Amino acid sequence: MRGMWKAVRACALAVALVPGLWPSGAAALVTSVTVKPNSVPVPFNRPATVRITWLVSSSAPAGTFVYSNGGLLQAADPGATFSACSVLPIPPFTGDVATPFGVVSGRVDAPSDGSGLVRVRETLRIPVRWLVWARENGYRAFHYIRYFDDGGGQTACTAFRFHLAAGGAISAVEFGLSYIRMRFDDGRVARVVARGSSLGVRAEVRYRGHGLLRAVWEVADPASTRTGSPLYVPLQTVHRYLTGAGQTVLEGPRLPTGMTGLHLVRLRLIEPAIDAPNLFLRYFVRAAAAPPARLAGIALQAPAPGAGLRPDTRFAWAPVPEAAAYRIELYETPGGFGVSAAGTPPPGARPVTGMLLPGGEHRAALSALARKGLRGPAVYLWRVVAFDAAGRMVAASPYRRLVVPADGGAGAGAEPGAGGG
Amino acid sequence: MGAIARWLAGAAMWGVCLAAAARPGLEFELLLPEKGWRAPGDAFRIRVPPDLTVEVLRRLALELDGIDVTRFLRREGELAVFTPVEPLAYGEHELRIVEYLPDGSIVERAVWKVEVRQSRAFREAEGSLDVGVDLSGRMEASGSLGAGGGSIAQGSLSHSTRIASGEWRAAGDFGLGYDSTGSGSPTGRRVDLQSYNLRFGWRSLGLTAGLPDVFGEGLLGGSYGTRGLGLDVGVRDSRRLRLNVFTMRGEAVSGFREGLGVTDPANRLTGAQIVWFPLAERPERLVIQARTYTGRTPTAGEGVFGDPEEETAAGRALSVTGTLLDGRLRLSAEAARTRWDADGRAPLLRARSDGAYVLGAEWAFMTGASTGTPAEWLLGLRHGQIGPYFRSLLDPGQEADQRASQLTLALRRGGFRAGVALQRVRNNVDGLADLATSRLDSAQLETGYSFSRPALGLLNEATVRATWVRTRPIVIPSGIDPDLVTDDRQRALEFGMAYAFGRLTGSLDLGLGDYRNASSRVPDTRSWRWSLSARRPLLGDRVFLDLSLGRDLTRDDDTGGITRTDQLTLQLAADGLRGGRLGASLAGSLNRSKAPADPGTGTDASDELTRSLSAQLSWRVITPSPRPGRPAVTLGLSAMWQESEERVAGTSSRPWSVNATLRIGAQRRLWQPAGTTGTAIGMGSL
Repeated sequence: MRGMWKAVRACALAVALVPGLWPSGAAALVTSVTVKPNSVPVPFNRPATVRITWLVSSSAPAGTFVYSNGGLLQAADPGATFSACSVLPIPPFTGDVATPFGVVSGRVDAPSDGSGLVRVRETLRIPVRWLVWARENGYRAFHYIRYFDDGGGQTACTAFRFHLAAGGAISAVEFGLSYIRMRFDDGRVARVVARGSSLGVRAEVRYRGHGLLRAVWEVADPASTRTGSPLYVPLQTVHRYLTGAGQTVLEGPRLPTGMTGLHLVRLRLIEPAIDAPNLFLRYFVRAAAAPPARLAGIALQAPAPGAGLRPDTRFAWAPVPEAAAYRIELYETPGGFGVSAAGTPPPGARPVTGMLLPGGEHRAALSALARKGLRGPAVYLWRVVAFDAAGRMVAASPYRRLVVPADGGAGAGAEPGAGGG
Repeated sequence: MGAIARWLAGAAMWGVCLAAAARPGLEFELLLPEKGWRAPGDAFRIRVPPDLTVEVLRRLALELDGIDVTRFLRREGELAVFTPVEPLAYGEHELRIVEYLPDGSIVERAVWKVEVRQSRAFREAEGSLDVGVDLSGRMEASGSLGAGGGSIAQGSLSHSTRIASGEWRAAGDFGLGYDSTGSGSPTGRRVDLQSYNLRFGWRSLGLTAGLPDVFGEGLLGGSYGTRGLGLDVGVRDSRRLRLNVFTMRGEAVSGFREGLGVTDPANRLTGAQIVWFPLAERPERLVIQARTYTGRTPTAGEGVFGDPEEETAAGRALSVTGTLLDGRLRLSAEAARTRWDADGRAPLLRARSDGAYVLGAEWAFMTGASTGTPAEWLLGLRHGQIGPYFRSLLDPGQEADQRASQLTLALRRGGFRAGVALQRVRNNVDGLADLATSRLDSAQLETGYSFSRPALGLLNEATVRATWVRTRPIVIPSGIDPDLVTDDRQRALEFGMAYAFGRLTGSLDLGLGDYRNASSRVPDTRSWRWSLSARRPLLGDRVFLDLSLGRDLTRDDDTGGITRTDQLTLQLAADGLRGGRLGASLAGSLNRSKAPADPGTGTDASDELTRSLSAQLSWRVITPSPRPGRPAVTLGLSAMWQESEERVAGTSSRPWSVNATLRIGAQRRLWQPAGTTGTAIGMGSL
């Protein structure tokens, strides 16, 4: 009874999938079909996405669509090979068994250009439940079978094979993307920002194998979003050869915020050419009351990057014309000595010590009180900021590393209230 | 010397006022402002004990929040006065008076915890409401830019608030977007919520609606939250025992849909974390963390390329981190276990349990401490394993079935830095006999130098990085095609520099790569790349010129085909000219991406070329000043042209458009007290 039901179901599937059973008008013949690549390994414990190109030989005239209404999934025993299908193949094939997942729905098609070979592209998403089921039931591979027709009454089919491999980023011989997540620089997926403000975007990319990733960061600004048909303009191209760890972060360009209104930012994948319609984010730019204040830079002169703090260490910087006061700030570095630490303090960090100096001075030694706030041996980050007479911060230097020895750099001879140069 | 002279002068003036005999028991006294509370710009007035000798006065210093502010003390009669150079943040601050003793030690003479408030009623109360709307009319257009209606409206509203008083505090922000075509919403609504985050705290307790805190780094993942609710205890006041609990939507979402994000049980993750600092010392010498979560969700969503199939999983993790030798040696260990059902709640597959662990040690030490430039060293070891069925929905991209070991050695001395990282990774950790096993070995060497002054008048920083990666099969069971098992080697050499030439700044990057593969399915390749960026302010800091260009080439050694990417961007932007009324920008870009046909994958050759030009001009007709809150009205004109060609397919498009815009925007500060715009610096001497 079960076997009869299987046969009935297989016939029904063939009727649904084999387009040639339905009459059509065009007189053209699909003679054969191959697939590139014809097989790939996929890790058995994670979902996978592969880009397939079905190469259909057809005498269809230019403009005629070659199509397939759905794919059939078969689990393969070890060593099973797909046998060529005839006009009306009835699955299961030798060594293959039906899966609980049945028909993989989804029409794929492409127009013929009259050359006799039609390329039909498909992004096949392989859910992890297929792969886990195969492992649990002793199968090592799948055949994904498609029948193609151009309405001429004759079909051809072939199978794309994917076989189970061990997990991990190094398991795949061919390069593939497994997961991408886009976020703005504050972790959100939608933003409202002021005109002229700074806005960044990044994408966390997980991949398998080694290969070339090509993609484009693109933005559609209000000039096109207001038409309802956004037109994306390239901002930055990504061309990166990925190997090793299986993960990387793509830092996107500074996004345009000069025009108010709705913007769309996306990461368009070129290689591998995977359809990823959700890889875009929205942000609105609103008018700002005034242009954003820009901090001028302060050029540091001493001490040199990575210098050790000594009793005679003098901090020196280029003067800022409108400065009424300067503040030397010292920050702890996260992570031990901070040899591998980033070059800036974490967001929201406050200086552990420092000094406030009049605007006419741009060279000073740390007072003993400021030195007392340092605990060595350790590495600190320091910088200088400038304030105008109204109390606004008008300039800031980049951060530099300062190595504080075990004695805190005080040594002998440090002046208690040392400050002026 | 100048400082000492000023101290002597002030001390001499103080000496005139001293009484003949000291009065024992008098302390320094910090006076409260007459209004009874302290605003951000209020001066600190300290009554100095009149019995202090001149010698003691000379040795006193003042510190605010760890910053030595002694140089800004001035005298007002019998008071020592310090006025902050910038308005202080709301909340608690620490003011200290210390004395330098003759033996070189420093003793504290007085310390005050002062609260800076926004008003008598609230310690902190500020907010802003920004509203703007653009009415755009299309003057001329072609191609796809000519579609749709001729007049469109877009706008946005954003609001942020912070209120605090006593032991409670509240903060929040949200943003709404308006688009008359519905393009600003994932559901096609004309007005939709873009994002929001609300936090309320009372004593140690915190509540969050919007983006709750999750776990942070770890085997279970959870660096980012999505929309949901959170509760935390002891986190904001850094208690030794901290708890946070969250429930959130599994997939990222925006808009009003899904509300708080926690109502759909098929798309929800819930978890909790306890962090315990059993030792009371600072910095923390021992940290113990316990985490757990459960949930059911797909792993797709907005901005995500993932899997829309639903999965169910739960996990727990325990980690211990300890530091020894005054923080120079750090040891860490974490173990985790997950239970994962690959088909969600469907009965087809059973849930599988698997584990993971990671061990780490990091030792930092210093040599040459007595020299002017000590050397800092860091030695790190890390080893971990993730089981094949280990799966955390908080980190859906994480790979499993791997065992990895890593050794790092880093050195910094002055501006010089160098580091070596060695890594070995293997998969098939359970040694399944029917699957191939592969191993990856990699070595990376990086060195760089930061110049204190530009070298050759140009070079600020230079970096060189060399990478070598080798992946090979260890075991290939019978029946597996060796051509399908990774066997390759990669070498790469990269050079980067940051330069500054007068007011011109930028960077230059170069790279070479070589990739060899034993499989016939993957080509051997060589690659080259270079990129250059430059930025130059013009006419003060309101006009900028930005340039970036670069080329990437990858050559297929098997076919001779070259994949090439070129890009060029030039932008001239000005803002705030003519008294803040005029803004303008002109930008152009060229991007070309060319690739040969790939017989292995069946992909065609491609040659995409995109050129674009855009210009904007805006004139602020009504400015918001001198009346804050008055709407600003701006007229704008923008033009855009783009040419996109696919030269292999022979297709092209050249859309362009010219638009006029009327922009109305208003910003209103909420709960802004009068007169709080900053404070003049008080200078002088004692």
